[in-house]
Amino acid sequence: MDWQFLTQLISIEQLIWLALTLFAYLLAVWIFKGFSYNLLFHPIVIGAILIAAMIAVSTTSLQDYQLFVHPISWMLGPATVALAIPLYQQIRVIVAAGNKGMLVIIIGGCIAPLLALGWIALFDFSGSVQLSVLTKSITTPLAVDTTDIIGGIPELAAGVVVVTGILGVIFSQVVFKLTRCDDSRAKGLALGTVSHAIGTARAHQIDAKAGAFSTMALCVNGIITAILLPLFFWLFA
Amino acid sequence: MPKRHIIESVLAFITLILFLLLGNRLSHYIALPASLLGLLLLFFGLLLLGRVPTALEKVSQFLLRHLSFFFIPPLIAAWFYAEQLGSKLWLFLLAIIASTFISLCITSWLGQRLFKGTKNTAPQDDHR
Repeated sequence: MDWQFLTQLISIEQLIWLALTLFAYLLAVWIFKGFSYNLLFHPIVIGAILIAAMIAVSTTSLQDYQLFVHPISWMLGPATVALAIPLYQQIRVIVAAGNKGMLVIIIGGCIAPLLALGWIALFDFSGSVQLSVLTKSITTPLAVDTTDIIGGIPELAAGVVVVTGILGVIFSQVVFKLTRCDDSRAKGLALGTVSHAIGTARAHQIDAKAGAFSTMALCVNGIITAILLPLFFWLFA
Repeated sequence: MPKRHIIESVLAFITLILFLLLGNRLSHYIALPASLLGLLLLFFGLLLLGRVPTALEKVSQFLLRHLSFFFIPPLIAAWFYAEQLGSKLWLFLLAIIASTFISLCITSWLGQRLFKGTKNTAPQDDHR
């Protein structure tokens, strides 16, 4: 983590890009509402497309853009620390879910990245690309830091995480019918384990209990993965 | 918003940053993400305190609700790397699609089997 941007002088160009990114996000949220929260129009996707278009139209390079909006990326740090609050508030849910809940989270948390890695390993991808799918089911800030530690590409991992989150939500309706899943607790656990924060947003739309279980699964899977992956690599790599 | 609330919110945000700094310090000794260490430290702090200060709850809810905003720059960067994969991009995407679908099937199936028949005793409120 670097704190350099705090001491660097802010240029007009940087201020403009910060404001444009904020504007793109607000517009994306407005569009998302307009399509009555259809996940295909998720603010992350629309916001990124708007910004990508603005970067393409202007003569700004991607590297410069990343430098300009560093304060925004940096905010992911405090936002991750803030997860401690929902985790603390879900203690009762974690206790109520007990070992069964933990079992679902751990199995789901292992299967998702291993399946992706297994498939990727069949083809000729570079090592760092392969390692970037291992954090696919955990919330972005944890995924970025963890991928950095184990030697993957943090930026690619962030993209994988967002795509996984949105796909999980889109698949969830069909999958819940396929597995005849009608228990809010099971739905919440599945969404939170596989689709992290984006799945949790969907779980909150199902009902409060699904939301609570999803928040719990998101926190627990994120923490377990972020602890075990670096440990695993430290031991075996 | 009354002045007191603004000051409390700023203090709550500074608290989050302080825990992040502590996590950053600690990550020199433990090979874990700084933000995760900060999260765990704050979690244990809350356990000791026994409650969540209102201002801290409000600030964290605000940050987590607008998490998508902070995702935008990393996603733009991902685009750049995805382009470099070239013709193999669809293989890469297929891995994510398939693994997400299968793991969602397994977790929802397992959860349904494990929870079926058990009393639904979990608390209803979720503080959101």
